[in-house]
Amino acid sequence: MSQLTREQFLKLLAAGGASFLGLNPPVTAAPDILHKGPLMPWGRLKFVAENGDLDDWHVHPQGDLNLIDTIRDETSVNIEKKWKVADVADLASMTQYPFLFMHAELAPALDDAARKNLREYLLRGGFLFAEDCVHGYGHHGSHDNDFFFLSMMDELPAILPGSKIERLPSDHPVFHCFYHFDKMPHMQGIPHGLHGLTYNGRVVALLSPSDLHCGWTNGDYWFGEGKTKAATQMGTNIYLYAMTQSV
Amino acid sequence: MNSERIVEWQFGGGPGLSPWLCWSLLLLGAIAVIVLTAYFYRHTLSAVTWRQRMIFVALRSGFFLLLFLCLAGPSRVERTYDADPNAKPLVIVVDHSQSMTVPDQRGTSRLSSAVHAWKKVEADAIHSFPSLRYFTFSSSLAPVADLESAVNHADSGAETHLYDSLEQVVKDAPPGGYGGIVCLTDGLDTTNTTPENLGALALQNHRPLYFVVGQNQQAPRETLLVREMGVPGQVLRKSQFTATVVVEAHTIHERDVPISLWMEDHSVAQANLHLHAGANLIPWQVPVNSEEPGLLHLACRLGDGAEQESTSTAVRVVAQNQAHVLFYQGTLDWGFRFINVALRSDPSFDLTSLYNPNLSLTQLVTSSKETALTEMPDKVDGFKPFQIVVLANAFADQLSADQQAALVAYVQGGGGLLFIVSDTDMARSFSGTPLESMLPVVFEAPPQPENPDDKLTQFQEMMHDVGGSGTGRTQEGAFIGDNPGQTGQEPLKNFAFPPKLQHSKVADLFGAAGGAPQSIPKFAMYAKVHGVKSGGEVLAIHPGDKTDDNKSRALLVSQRFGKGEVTVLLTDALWRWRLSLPSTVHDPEVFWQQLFRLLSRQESGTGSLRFGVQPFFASLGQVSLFRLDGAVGSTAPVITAVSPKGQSQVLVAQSDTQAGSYSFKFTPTEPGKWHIQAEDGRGSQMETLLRVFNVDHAAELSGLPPDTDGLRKLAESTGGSLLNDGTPDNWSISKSSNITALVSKHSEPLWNNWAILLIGLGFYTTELVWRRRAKLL
Repeated sequence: MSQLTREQFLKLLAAGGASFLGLNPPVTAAPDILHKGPLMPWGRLKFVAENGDLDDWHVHPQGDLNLIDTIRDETSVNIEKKWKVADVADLASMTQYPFLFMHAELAPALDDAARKNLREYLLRGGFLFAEDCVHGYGHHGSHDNDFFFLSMMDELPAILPGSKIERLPSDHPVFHCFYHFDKMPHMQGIPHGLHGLTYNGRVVALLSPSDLHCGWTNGDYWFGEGKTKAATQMGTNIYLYAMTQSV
Repeated sequence: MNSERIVEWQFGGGPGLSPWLCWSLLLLGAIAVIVLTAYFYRHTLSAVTWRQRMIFVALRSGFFLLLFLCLAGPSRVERTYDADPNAKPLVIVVDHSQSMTVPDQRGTSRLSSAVHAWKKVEADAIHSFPSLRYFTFSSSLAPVADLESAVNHADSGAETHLYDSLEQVVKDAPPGGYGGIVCLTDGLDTTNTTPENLGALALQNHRPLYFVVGQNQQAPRETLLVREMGVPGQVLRKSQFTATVVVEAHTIHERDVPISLWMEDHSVAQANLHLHAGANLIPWQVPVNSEEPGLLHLACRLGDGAEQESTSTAVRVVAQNQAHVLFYQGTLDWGFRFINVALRSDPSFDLTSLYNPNLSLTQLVTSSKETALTEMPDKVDGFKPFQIVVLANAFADQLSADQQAALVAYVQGGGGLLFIVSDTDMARSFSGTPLESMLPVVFEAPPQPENPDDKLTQFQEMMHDVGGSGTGRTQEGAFIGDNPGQTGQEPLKNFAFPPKLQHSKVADLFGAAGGAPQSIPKFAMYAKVHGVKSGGEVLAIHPGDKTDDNKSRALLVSQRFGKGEVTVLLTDALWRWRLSLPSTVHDPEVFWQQLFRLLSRQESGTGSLRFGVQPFFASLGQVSLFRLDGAVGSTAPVITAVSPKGQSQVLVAQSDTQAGSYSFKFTPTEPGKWHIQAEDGRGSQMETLLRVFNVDHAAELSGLPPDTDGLRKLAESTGGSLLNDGTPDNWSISKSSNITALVSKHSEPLWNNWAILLIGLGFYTTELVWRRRAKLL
């Protein structure tokens, strides 16, 4: 039997105590008060990172699940409670997902075929959310760690000629479509702000340097109280914005 | 099939005894018998010579030895082996496209060159593989009997579907597969397909690809062509629409080429397109502002100097009112994103989105006209600004009785309703509601309470366990490795059509005669309903699923209700169909626009004259098909083709099944630019330009050199090679591989042989005869 974590120990202690007292154990998930829409898949983009790193793309798989939980609990969006893999080398695998999440600590090492697939995916109407997991050489919070973000700032406009990438202002709908934010919630790294890739007047991809994903994974523990909530709420906004944007 | 037979003798031994022990015992027995025989013949009743005595002993011993030998159970075992268990047929695929069959100035075609190179290794192939199978292809793949049939195939296609054809060979391989695939080609593929998929597929299926590259001295030629100018049939005055120019180019060296779009006599947009060496197919989109009603002439100029290509088309600008669409989402779905794009690309529509208030979403999509809607109107007047209402993925309890009644009254009064539902439980919630009374389908009974999905819960718990701060990357990596099945979704299914359905709606939605295959929508999810009402017209059905009474399940049903029109789409909102198609293909957008046009009753026949189908180029003598939509009047439109020299030729149009639509054919008789002009009974005019080339323009004859390096790379990525370099080493390995696969085994005991019996009896009877002669009997 695997070792109990402190959190599990405390939960068990609480549940045991509650049952001893004749009370219901605490419920962590909010009740589903909304009807759910059609089932939607969640796709994580698989790609090769710098120096041929084949593992960086799937860092912290739990973070996606925590965001999915939040979106399911708070909205009618019925995302499947598992994430699947879309390989940037295989366009057919990418086009099964309307929204792709791309995440890593290292700079992506995209070849021409991968760039071509990403371009075609975006032109067909798919949406990409790329986010920097902030490489800290083992020490989160280092200020010299925005490799992914800087690389994608160059990559995205090159992938989609005719597009432009720019920092989104605080009154942009992505900050207000569901939850309201005065500015982009920031977990760690350099706060460059949320950037949007616009093509034909339409935002087709978002690029974040703020490591929201680590906030989804364990924000309160890593970054301070309230960070998990802020990160998942901003993630919810990004997902809903992509689904419902006006142009 | 190559096989090898091995024959050996086995001496089985007795029951429970090893052959060695058994043989030892039998040998001792035989020796004892010989000794006893010699001993018994030592004294006889009458005197015999020493020589006779030896013959008697020999005959008796021979008999007993034969008997003992048979008792030992020797068997002749014949085993037949497959010479190579891994030996599978080799497939020879012959590229028979024009680029391969057109001879150069020496009369040598690339095909003949490739065949010549193949002949050098053919003997090795025959020796290394059990059989050879042959296919040929240009635009489609066909099996042929032998290489000669492939070379002399009648059809040299104007297109080369190299990668698609080889993919089909890999996919259609019989059980056991092929030992390899050899393709005689020049590496030219005129489709937009890339070799990556083929390489991955071949590697995955262990099918090495070998190429034999055909060479000749065909002169390289560069081509620049405006393949298509995509514009809406008609646009609103003072609106913006998108013109899409698709450029096809073949170039020897990487370079930029200028392109510009002209409206009447002024430039709308200019750009430089980057061409890479080889074949290019590049879409170029330009936003264009329409002006006053009338014909808007658009021209595209590609390249400069002597190589400049230009073509033109016309867009009808109308002052027609827009159709205002109210799009209500009960629950959120990705389909909206794609429908929104489809409608916004057509200025005939104006979209306002509305969310179920429980979603707490800020309105992101609003009409260009100010509409102060925050929730679904509960009075019919609230719907009046809209020609179409979409009710997407809603549950019945999200709409009050007043809202439903208002919606019913709206449709009765002439409104259009599109009801989208892709979930059976969601559909069931409308059972017995006022809305159901006007829809063309009957819903199933309300849903049962949901059961929690244990597997999903279990999966989520596992995910919680592997992620987060308490775990390392190793565990996460293990998770990825343990879950290879995470990739992939349910395959898409095509809409099917009810048999014998011939209705203009179907033609409008899916194209003429049920639609070209690429125009048929594909879906992933669908909702089941109890049945279709008698007044409902089923426009599309499920390709396989049937109801309990063996009727195909309806997917798209339409009916008149009062003065309005109701359509129910029982699938997802087709977003995966959109994503599955290349970005240059706009069939999903056209489908949605046509569906909304039907609902808003913008019948094609009541619009203005425009081309529904128009080719932009043709070869001399090639038949070109056109279709005109929106013609008004009791007679067919007058159509005139004006030649490059200014001579007019009247063309005859045939009425289509769809009101206001006419088709006609035109066969150009001289090269150059032909103006095709049409005028209907109301005097409405339309025109387009057809450029006619002396020869087939297709990439086939671009003169590009064979893609030797690309083919070599592709072959090597699958474990194959270029056969122009000689026979691959692994073919000889295949030939000399170990014999391990037993095909058959036949065992025959020694005694199952007349000769043995006769020899034994011969010993015995000879002894008896000799004993009689010696008076011992």
